[in-house]
Amino acid sequence: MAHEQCRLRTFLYARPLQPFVSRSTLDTLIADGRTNAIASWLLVIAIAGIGLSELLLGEVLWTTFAATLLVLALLPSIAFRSPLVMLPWEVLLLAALPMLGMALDATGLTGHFASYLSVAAIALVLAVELQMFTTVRMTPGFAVIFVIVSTLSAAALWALLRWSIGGLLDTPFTGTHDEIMWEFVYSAVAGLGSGIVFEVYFRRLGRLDQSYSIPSAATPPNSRSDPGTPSSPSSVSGRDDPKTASPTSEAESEPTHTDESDPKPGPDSTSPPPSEPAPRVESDPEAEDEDHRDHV
Amino acid sequence: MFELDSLRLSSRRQRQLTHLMELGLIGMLFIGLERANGGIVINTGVALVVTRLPSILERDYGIPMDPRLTLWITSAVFLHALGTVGLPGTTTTFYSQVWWWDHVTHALSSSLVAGVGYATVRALDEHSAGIHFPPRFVAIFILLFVLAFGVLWEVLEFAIALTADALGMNAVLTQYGLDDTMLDLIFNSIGAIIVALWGGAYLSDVTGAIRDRLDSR
Repeated sequence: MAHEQCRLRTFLYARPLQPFVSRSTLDTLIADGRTNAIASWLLVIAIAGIGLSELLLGEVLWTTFAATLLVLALLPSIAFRSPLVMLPWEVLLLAALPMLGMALDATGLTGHFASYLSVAAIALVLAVELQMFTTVRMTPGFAVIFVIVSTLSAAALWALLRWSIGGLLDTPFTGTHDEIMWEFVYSAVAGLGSGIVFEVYFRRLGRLDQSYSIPSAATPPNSRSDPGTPSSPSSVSGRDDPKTASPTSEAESEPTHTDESDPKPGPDSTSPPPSEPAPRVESDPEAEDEDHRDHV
Repeated sequence: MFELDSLRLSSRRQRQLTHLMELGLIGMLFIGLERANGGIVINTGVALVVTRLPSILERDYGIPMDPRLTLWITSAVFLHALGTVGLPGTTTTFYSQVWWWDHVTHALSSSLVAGVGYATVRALDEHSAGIHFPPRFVAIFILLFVLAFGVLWEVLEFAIALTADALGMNAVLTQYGLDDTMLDLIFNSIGAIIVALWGGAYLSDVTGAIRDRLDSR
């Protein structure tokens, strides 16, 4: 159980992966959570800057959007009192895409499709933060459904908002029926597309989890032992809940995703035994699951 | 669905009402064939298929279908099909003549969608250790789920309208304009809110059955 939930949390701390590409080739580019934190903080600064300029320009909508994004982006590091705990920079980039597009005057990034990709990314961030800060618990599979549902309903709510405001203020609603329909179509494509991408991403996380949890396997080809990482020598795998961290890890240590620093499972009580079937579940959700937990 | 004593129907009456509506649907199918109206034929045909769902779910999937649930499902599709037919002998449909028909059918259909979503989400919560949803989250999620479904439905209607235009046919489902589409979404939400507030009591059996099915996979 904890394994699948922690997969969503792992999303936050460690950034071992580049989506779409195998780990070994891009290992050197995004090496560890520290690099991700730097990238994410740069994005946060960019978003703050754009938000500020929007505020000065009197653009209420964009300012609100930037403010919301900032709050969501900063929540993890504030909550864990560590500048290293940040969202994956790819997700943050996706969420900030329309804003960045507007700032860079890239018209391709300000269209409906980009906007709803951003909504999908924000929905994923919400899912992870719900997991972290509330009693809500989701499996990654349900998080994908949550993303799709959120994106589509966001389109509905946004259209309803503009329509009702237009009616209340007696100003004509500037969209035609066809325009709203095409916006709905884009939201559906963006939502479903993002859902598929995130599902693939989570499966990859699961496969890598599986390969690294086998203690007798040789150390990964591009070993990412980062001497600078303050994590304790015993395995602080990404599966650890920082609130109930193992006694040997420090509060501000950045949990790494893999067990590479501890090839032996022996003394460490936190790494799962190699025979545990749970790591395989996420990599192939359709497979028959003996204990049929977290099968979603 | 509401437990108002004066409106309460016995199980027997509920089943009779369901059968009556099914017969009505068959009658409407023939009207559609007689009028050579493809729209009516398709809408009543699909409605009849849907009325078979409760017995299929019960027999093949072991999901118990309370007579109330069956009545709920049958009423939704019956009113929709009736809306496309209108009174026999007239050329106008209830959908176009009665301003609230579209709204009522949308609320009823989306309450069904909300019911399905609610039962599934609750079943997942019970079945999976990794899933836990507090009641407020479930309520909000049901609302979002119905809105999302509504968007997909409107996109479907849009696609049908575009195809019909391209092929030079009358659309099987029609969209009446922006205001109507927005009101559709609002009435969908009303259906969802009703289920979110009151549906729990009626759906516990279905929830349990879905959970059992998930457990046995």
